[in-house]
Formats: sequence, C-alpha cells, structure tokens
Amino acid sequence: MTLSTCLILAGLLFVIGLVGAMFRRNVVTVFMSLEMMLIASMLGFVAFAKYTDTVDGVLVCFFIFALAAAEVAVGLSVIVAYYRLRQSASLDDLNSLKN
Amino acid sequence: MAEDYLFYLFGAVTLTSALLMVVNRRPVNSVIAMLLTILGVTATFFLLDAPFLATLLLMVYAGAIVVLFLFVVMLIDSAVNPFKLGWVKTTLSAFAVLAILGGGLVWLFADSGSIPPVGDGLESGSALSYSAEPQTFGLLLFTRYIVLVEVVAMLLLGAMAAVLMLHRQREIPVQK
Repeated sequence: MTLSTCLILAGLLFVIGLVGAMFRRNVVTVFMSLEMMLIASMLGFVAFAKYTDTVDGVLVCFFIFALAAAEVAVGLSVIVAYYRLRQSASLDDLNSLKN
Repeated sequence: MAEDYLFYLFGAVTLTSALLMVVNRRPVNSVIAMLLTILGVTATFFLLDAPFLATLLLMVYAGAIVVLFLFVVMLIDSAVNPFKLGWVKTTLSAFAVLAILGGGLVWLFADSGSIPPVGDGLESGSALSYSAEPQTFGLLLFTRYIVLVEVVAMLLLGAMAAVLMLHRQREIPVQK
C-alpha cells in the first residue's frame, strides 16, 4: 500500500467509469459512471494528501462532495423532466438538435 | 502488513463491483453495485487514515446519492437497449479502451518513475500536516478556503433554484 498502488486503484476506477460513460446508452447508468469518476478523483486526492503529509487534499474532497450533491440533484431532475417529455431514458433519443 | 492485505482486498472489491456496475443490464443492479463500490472506497479511506472523510462519504454517497438514484430508477421505466453499437462491437471497443488507458496508467504510476519516493522533496513547507481531526478541517475551511466555501454555497443555491425552475407546475407538451 504505497502511493503508486493507491493511484493505480484510483486510476483504474476512473477508467472504468470513463468506459461506462462512453459505451452505455442508458442515461441513469451514464450518470452513475460520472459519479464513479468523481469518487476516483477523490481517492487520488486523499492518497496524495496522506503520502505528502499535507491536509489540503482532504479539503478538496469536501468541495467535491458539495459538487457531487449539486450535480446529482440537478442531473437527476433533468433526467426526470426528459423522461416526462419523451417517455424514454435512452441517450439515442436526445437527437432534436441533429436535423 | 495486515493493512496491505486489506487494501488489496478492498481494492479488488471496488474494481470488481465497478465493473459489474458498468456491464449490468438492469439499472437497479447497477445501483446496488455502485453501493458496493462506495463501500470499498470507504474502507480504503479508513486505511488511508481519513476516518472523518470516510464517514462523510458513507453518509453523503451511500445515504443520499444512491437513494436518489434508486428513486429515479424506480420512477422511470428504463427499458433501454443497453449498448450503443451492438453487443460484440461494444464489448470489443470497451475492452480496447480499458486496456489502453488502464495499461497506460499502470505504467505511468508504477514503472515510469513519475512518482518520486515519499519524503523526497514532496512536502510543502507552509501547509498543515496531514491529520484526521475535524478541527484542522474547520480551521482551514474558515481561513484559507473561505472564498471557496462561499462559491460552494452559491453553487448549491443555484442548483436549488435550477431544480425548482425545472419542476414548476405547468403543462409539458408530449412530443412523439
């Protein structure tokens, strides 16, 4: 359990979230993958804070918490409004700007 | 030594459940897998000597955000064909991206020497040293990061106003 193993864990978690956001078409799953990437970045911040013996990285995590809470509230309400408009939860139906 | 084993155990739990979350077809199972991922990250935070942050992660994410996701999954009937390009193409390209990015970052963080050894000029002189006490967080939040706290307050206010505007009572025309 060194700095590099912690960073590898955080990076792999981030990459898995990125793959989910790239290749899924369900809106809710894509949104959960975004949350996963935020958690991965938090893990990286805490690992750097611990192994450089500073406290600022932990404080950044508090702001990430607030950001994630705001993002989830707004994003999920947008998803619900979109579902009420289109009766669908697929990203492929979000194409009204296409033509 | 026991910490090492626990770290690898919880790391394996985290990565496995994250993969399950991404590949699951039903959103409810994805939400439960995300809960497991959050529990794994929480255990890793405990191992990294950040118990306050771990408790906060458990309360905010597992207590609030996952429940919100469950409500939305319940609310909308998401019978979506889960892959964009078809099954085989999606699996192949997802594994390609995962292998390229994952291999690259394992090389970057493990072998490339970009992470200097701990205690080798990494410490900054003026910062407070790492601690798990809430007093330290409070002191820094109300001195050095006070502007950022105000910005976060404005952000939360804006989010609340946005949600209220999105869901005010009116007739939404149904387009087909």
